[in-house]
Parts: sequence; C-alpha cells; structure tokens
Amino acid sequence: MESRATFLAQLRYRFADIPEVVSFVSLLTLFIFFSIAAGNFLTPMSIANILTFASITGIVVIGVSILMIAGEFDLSVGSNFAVASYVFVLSLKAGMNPILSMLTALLVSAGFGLINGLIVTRTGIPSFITTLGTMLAYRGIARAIGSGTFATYTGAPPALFGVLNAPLDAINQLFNPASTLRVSIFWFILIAIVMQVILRRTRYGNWIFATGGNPGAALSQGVPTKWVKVSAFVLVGLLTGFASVIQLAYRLSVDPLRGVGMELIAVAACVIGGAQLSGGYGSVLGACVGMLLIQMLEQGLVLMHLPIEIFQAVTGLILIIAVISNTYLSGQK
Amino acid sequence: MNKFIRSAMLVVVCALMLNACAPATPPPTAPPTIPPPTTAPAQAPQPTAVPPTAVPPTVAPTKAPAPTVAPTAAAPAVDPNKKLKLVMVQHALCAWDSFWCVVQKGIETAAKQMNIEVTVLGPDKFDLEKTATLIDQATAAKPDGIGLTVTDAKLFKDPINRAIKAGIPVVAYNAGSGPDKDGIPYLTYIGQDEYQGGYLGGLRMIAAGGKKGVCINQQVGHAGLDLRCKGFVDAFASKNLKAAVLGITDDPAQSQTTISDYATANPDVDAFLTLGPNGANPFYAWLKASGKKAGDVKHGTFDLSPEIVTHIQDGSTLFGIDQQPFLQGYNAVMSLALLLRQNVSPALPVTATGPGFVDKTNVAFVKALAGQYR
Amino acid sequence: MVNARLTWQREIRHLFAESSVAGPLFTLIFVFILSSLFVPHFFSWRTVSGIVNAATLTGIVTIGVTLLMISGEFDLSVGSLIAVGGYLFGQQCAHNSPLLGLALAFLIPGFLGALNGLIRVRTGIPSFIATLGTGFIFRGAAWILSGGSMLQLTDKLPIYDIFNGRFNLLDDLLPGANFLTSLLWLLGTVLVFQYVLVRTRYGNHVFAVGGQVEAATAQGVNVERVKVINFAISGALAGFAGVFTFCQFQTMRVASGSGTELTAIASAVVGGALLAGGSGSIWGALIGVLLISMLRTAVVLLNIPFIPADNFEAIVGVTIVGAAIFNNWVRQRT
Repeated sequence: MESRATFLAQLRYRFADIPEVVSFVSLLTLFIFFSIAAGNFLTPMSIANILTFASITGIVVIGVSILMIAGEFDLSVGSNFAVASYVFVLSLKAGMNPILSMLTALLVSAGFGLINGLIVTRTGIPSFITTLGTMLAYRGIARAIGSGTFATYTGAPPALFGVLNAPLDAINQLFNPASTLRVSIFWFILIAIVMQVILRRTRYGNWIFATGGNPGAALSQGVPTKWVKVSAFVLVGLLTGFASVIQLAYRLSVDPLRGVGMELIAVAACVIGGAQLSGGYGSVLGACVGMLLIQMLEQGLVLMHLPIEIFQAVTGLILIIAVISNTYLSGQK
Repeated sequence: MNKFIRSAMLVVVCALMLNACAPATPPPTAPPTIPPPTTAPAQAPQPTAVPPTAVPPTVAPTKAPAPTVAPTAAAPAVDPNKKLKLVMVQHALCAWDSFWCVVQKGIETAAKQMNIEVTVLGPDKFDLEKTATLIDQATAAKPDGIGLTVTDAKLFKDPINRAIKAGIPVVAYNAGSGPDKDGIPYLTYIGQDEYQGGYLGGLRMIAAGGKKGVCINQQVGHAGLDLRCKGFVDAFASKNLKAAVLGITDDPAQSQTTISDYATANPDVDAFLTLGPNGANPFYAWLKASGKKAGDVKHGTFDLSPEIVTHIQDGSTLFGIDQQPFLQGYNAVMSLALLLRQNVSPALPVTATGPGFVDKTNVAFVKALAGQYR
Repeated sequence: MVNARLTWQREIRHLFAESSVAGPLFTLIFVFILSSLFVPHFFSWRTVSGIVNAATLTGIVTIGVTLLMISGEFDLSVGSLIAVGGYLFGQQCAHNSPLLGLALAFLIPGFLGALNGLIRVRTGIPSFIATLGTGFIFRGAAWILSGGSMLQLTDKLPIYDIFNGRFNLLDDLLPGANFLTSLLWLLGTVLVFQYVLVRTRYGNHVFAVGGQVEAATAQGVNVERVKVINFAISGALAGFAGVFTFCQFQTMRVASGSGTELTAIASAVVGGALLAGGSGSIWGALIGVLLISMLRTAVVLLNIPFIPADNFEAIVGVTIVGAAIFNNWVRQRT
C-alpha cells in the first residue's frame, strides 16, 4: 500500500513539470492500439493523412496553446480562419500579387487578434465572452465579404502556393495509393519548434507563463502583462491567418462555414496536451501531440470501419481522461 | 527508475496482448447467396412531367464511351461470392439531414441483400473541406470500392483521383454532373439533374399562380443545391418574374425565424421553393405559426418526407421533387458490387434517378413509403 | 432645487446598483424603442410574437445555464442534452405515452447533468472542459438512442399544443399576434427559478458558492451539493427544451440543439450574469434571450444592403461584446 502511494507520489513529482507526458503516453497507446486493431494503419497514406490533416489546425493550436498559457481564450479562431481565406482568395482574384495578397490576409487576421486583445485588456471583459462575440462578428464579416457563398481561386496556381503547401510528390508517388504528404507538415513542425523554444527559453516565454500563472505577482515583478496578453492574441491571429492561407493554397476554395468548430477542437488539443484552463501551465509540444492524437483517432476509426458518429464520443472520453490525468500529475486541483 | 520502466513495459505488453486477444470483426450475418438485384423496391411511379413549354438545354448523356476503370488485376475474374468492403463518403449524414436517412436505408438494404460490408462516412455538419479529408481517409482504408457525393467537383478532384489511381473503383451518387462534366474519371453519377429540377419546379409554381419567388437554400455552397436555385430563378426570369435566394441553416429554429422575418420584410413573395426536408421542416413550422391558410402561398419542395407527403395531400404543398434517394444509395452499392464481382460496368456516365414530380395526383402511391423508401 | 436633482441621480444609481438586471433591462427597452421607430414592420404584434417565440427554446436552456453560472460553473453539454430529451419524449409520443416521455425527458438529462456535477466536484477539472467532453459523449448517447436516424411524427398529439401550440387567448385578442403557449411555460419557469434564487436559502447558497467559495464553506454551505444540484437542474431544463423543440417541429435529429450552449452562455452574460460567478438573475436570462432575438429580427427586417438576411450572427456577436462592456461599465459606476 505504502509503496504504491510512494510510487504515485514519485510519478507526480517526476512529471509535475513535464506537461506533455500524458499526451505522449496517450499518443503512443493509441498508436499501438490502432496498429493492431485497424487494418492499413501503418501504411504511408494513413500516416501521411494524419500528419497532413493535423498540420493545418495544428498551427492554429500552437497559437491557442500559447494564449491559454497566458491565461486567456480565443474562441474566434474559426471565424478568423474563414476571413483570412476569403481575403486571400478575393485579393488574388482582384489581381493582386500573391505575396501581397498573403500579407494582406495575415494583416487582417493579426488585426482581428489585436481587436480581441484590446477589448480584453482595456475593458476587462473575460476573453471567453469577448471572443465568443467576436467569433460571431468575424463570421459575419466572412459571410459579408464572400457574399454568403463560396469563393474559389480558378487561375493558375502561383509559385507561392507551392511554397506554402505543395504536395511532396517525389515521396507521394512512391506509394500506391499515393500518400498525401504536403509541405504544410514542415511549416507545422517548424512553427512548433520555434514557438516551443520561444516559450521555454526566452524572457518573453517566461512572461507568458508568469502572466498566466499569477498576473498580480507578474505585474509587481515588472512584467508588462497587458502587453503580453495583447501580443499573445495577435500571435494567435497571425498563426490562424497563416494556417488559413496554407490551406487555401491546397484547397483553392473557401466557404462561409469554413472553420466552424475549430476553436473547440483547439481547446481540446491544448488540454490533452497538458494546458491548464486557468493558465500558467502547458506546452506547445503537448498541444501538437494532442492535435495529432485527435487526428489519429479519426483516421483510426475510419480504418476500423466504425460508424463515424462515435468519433465525437470517443474524443470526449479521451479528453476527460487526459484532463483528469493531467490535473492529477501536475498536482493542481 | 527501474521500477517505473518495468511497470511501463508491463502496461505496454498487456495492451498488446489485450488487442491480440480482441475478437475479430464480426462475421457477416446474411448467408452468402446473392440474388441478382432485380427491381429495387418501390419502383418509380409514373411521375407526371411538365409539358415542356420551355425546357432548358438538358444534360444529354454524351456520346463518349463510359470511362473505363483502372485495371485492378491482369485477367478480370468473376466471383459472385467475393467478400466486399465498401466505403461511402457523403457530404451529409442521416444524423443531421433526414433526407440522407432514406439514402442510408438504400445503402443498408443493398448491403444486406448482397452481403457486403459498407461504412458510411460524413462530416458532422455541412463542411465540404472535411468531406474532402474523409475521402482521403477512406482511401487509406483500401476499400474494394468507394461511393461518394461529388458535391464540389473542384475540391474533390484531387482526393478522388488519388483513389482512382490506387485502383479503387469510384461511383458518384446524389451530387455530381457526370465524369465528363466534372472532369474526374469516376464510373458514373447516380442522381438527378439539379438544374432541371429547379427549372421545372419554378415553371410549375408559375403555372399555379406564383408571382414572386424565393428559393430557400439550407446548404449554400452545395453545388447541386445552388444549381436548383439557379434553375428556379431562371424559370422565373424566363417569364419576366422575380425570384431570389434565401440562405438558411440546418438548424430548424433559427431557420424558421429567418424565413419568418424574410416573409415579413418581403410580403409580396408568394412562391416558396425548399430544397429538402431540412428546409421544408422549418418552413412548415413557420406556416403553421403564422396562421396562413393553405393557398395563401405556393410551396414546392425537393425530396419527400412524411410531413411533406401529408402537406402534398392536403394541398398546401404543390409538389415534391423526388430524386429517389433510396435508389441512389442502393444503386451506388449495387454498381460497385456488379463491377467487383461480375465485372459489369455502368453503361452511361449519368444514371438518372430523377427529377420525378410527386403531386396530388400520384402522392397516394408514395405515401406509405415516404421517409423510408422514397 | 439642486438637492432634488442630486437625489434623483442617486436614486437611479441606487436602482442600478441594487439589481444586476437594471442595465440589461435598460438596454432591452432602449433597443425596442429604437427598433420600433426605425425598423419597418417592427412595431406589430406579429413581429413581437415572432421575437418572443424564437426566444423560448433558448430561453429555457439559458435559465439553467444562468443558475449554474451564478454558482460559478459552465455547462457546454446542454446542446446534446436537448437532443437526448427530445428523442426520449418523441419516442414515447410515438408509443402514445407522452407523459412518460415528459418524465424521461426530465429525469435522464437531469441525471446526466448530475453526472457532470459529480465529475466536476470529484475530479476538480474545470467545468468548461468537463462539459466539453461530456457534451461529445452525450451526443453519442443521443445517436445511440436515435438508432442513427431522425424521428419525425405526423400525427398530432394534443400535448404538442399544450406545450407549443397556438396561444389562442392572446392571439385572438391582439391583431396579428402569433404567440405560442411555450411563452407561458417560459414565464412560469422563470418565475419559479427567480423565486428560488432570491427568496430561498438555497438561492443564497447558489450566490455564495459562486461568489466566495471559502466564505461559503466557512458558513457551512455544502458547496459540492449545490453545484451538483445546479448541474442537474441545467440538464433537466435542457431536456425540457428538447420537449418543446419536438412539440414545435415534430422532428428530432441527432444534431438537434447543437450550438445552443454558446448562445445560452452569451444570453446569460448579456442579461447581466458574471462569468466568474456570484452575480446574475433569471430575469436577466430572459432579457438576454429577448434582446438577442430582437436584434436578430431587427437586422433582417432592416434589409441593410451589405448585411444579407442570414448575417444576423454578426450583430449578435457585436451585441454580446457591447452588452458585456455596458453591463461592466454600469457595475463599475454603481
């Protein structure tokens, strides 16, 4: 009895400052499970699917996780995503230079993030409510500029699209069925590494943790908490815009409902990855692993020929189990 | 440290053992006799066609030969008992769009009769990007055949081509315009000509006295639904009348409010076209709540459902345009089965299942079947 | 003279300070007057009844969500519970036992709500995440209940009209009105819960638990029990809303009710409830749903050229932020 108690205590002690551990273990467990139970799981196309389809939302998740560590939410990422795609497509169709179009889209999405940040820090309205409102408002803007319908880019794909999201055909064509690897995976990994480094090794990253963990203490230590929060919101907006542009480089079209529900998937991924809702604790890497886990779950269930409707229920179950484990391991209650 | 690693390895080994001991996928229930699919249950009654006063250029089946499927084996084998695993990828599911429950019934009936394992995939709300993703995920499962809805030919072109190149035969149902028009070499499109349906429906409503129309679209961006509204608006325009498109959602409560407010803001609109049960349901709720009498407004809809049939019978709905969803689902499975087992390919790029107009004159026939087989 | 003016201002401040509902009520009346003056077709019984009808389904859910928010918790699973309750009721109606269906629609979602509460108090995970997860799981339960298909009944049972039928008394009195009987049920529920909130000891406990948990525990309030009960109430009311939905459309789909959770939270906040807990009122919940419904209709009726009819969402979003800011400002000034 006592040895079990000490074992658990040792576990908690060891993993208290590794927020990613639950997500890694879960990912590994699920991977092993599907390798055995699902046919064709360990095939190039299946693995490629998981990586590629997780990468777009994954970039958004990276931003959301940083914001969550800073103690705030952003429920407007889905709508922001849609607007960025519309701005990108419509600028391209209007004949604007591709790079300029992309920059415009990024400017708009970062601007939306800025608006979120300013409202939250200036008026004191909780970010949950603010971004709930801006989620609806930005969705309305997406509908308005898109005239309520699809916007498709029908011209010849510019070189920029290749840079953003070309298919890795050299590898893909080696397999049958051809795998679905795309450049977006590289962007995802690159941004994840950069952000994790910033978070863990720079003063700015420290500030993020401090602002989320104990804003009062942080302020008294000279951390410009308001600025940190606003910058985190802008970062989320920027990353969302980038993810959106990358997706458009592949899909070439956007619809008024693009991105609906993205915010909750992002929160789920972050939480599975170890982030605490109250802020001050979490990890970019863990959130990425959480996103991969969710995507792996979806692909695995399809491979097992199970009804797609249980995907949501299983995600919910995994979410709860992961959160309970994370809370327990990190010693917070 | 050692204790921990040992425990972890124990957990992993146990997981592996548990999975190895997990029961295999359940064997098929039906005995392996496959009756040749004769007539699908509930064959189409003789739908009354509108006397073609002004019929738009229809989608005539092209003279080009039917696209051949990528060769799967050296010599085509005939195996009537071959065990098949099919995947259907749809842009909508029975869970949130009742039209698809009838399609599902067709798929399940065919699967049971022909002893095939079929999985139906779809997004949990109208999301074409997600649907495109599901096509790729289905391909990774290496099924024997894929049936899917070509709701946006441009978006789906890439994933469908990947599946075809991998040697998986693909059949389109419910949404699409045929392999030639869509530019994707799938086998055939099993469904109706959407534009024609909207156009003929519009003409019917004008013939019944409609002066200003609105096409209520609950899935704006669905190429087929957009075509229906286009046909409707063009029909009104051909008679120098006005018609517009109103976008609603798949949420009935919100949609009812939108319709109600639109009607208040545009009181001269008297011809309403809904594009399916998800559109008709909030429309009927609004009609009931607004206290209007049958005959105040003209209503026509696509597809059938129990309540639509009831309203056709009492005259408050002029017609339901039946694309025979049961047939679409059934035929999709059947086409793939015929190809994979008997090497029989579909003859034409477009296998039409509609549009058939169900109105007061022939509704009695379909009444018992609505929502189930029609 | 000066004294009189000062007391008048102080009276108003007092009024606003006393109740959290004064600010939202003011906004509601203000928007109503503006709309009546400038929006065509607005000032008619037909439009007003339409606004009220549109608010009832969300309103019932918002009552439970507000109660829970005052005690400091969230429930994102109410949308799924609407579907669960709706199916339970509808299936019993198909077997001609609607009363049994009604009971099931209260009990089972109520039980599931209590489950939410238990997860919250036993494991300590924030209710936002816990109910996000359980919402997914309950949706799966609704799918199992439904057998994977939609439920649509064509025979009219009298119970449909009791819950959501034409409100003949009022409709015959007022020209063009289209009120539904659900209005009465909504008002009744609001009255019951407002009474519980402000006039019973349990209501006191709810406020205490939301405001200052330590102080509440020190005073002997069983915090865990209060939270679990509130979760159960939220679940039961969501199931009740499912009953109304079925009575209105005679249709239930697995996806029914999805999205309601965020609208309910937004309405609660617009009505003056604090996200952090400890403040709010059930009247505020009612005002919140009415205000949002009113703005939605006003936008469609205004027929603004660059805002298509289906874009009221954006206005709702702006309202939420605006109302939250306004309520906050009022709270700070008093």
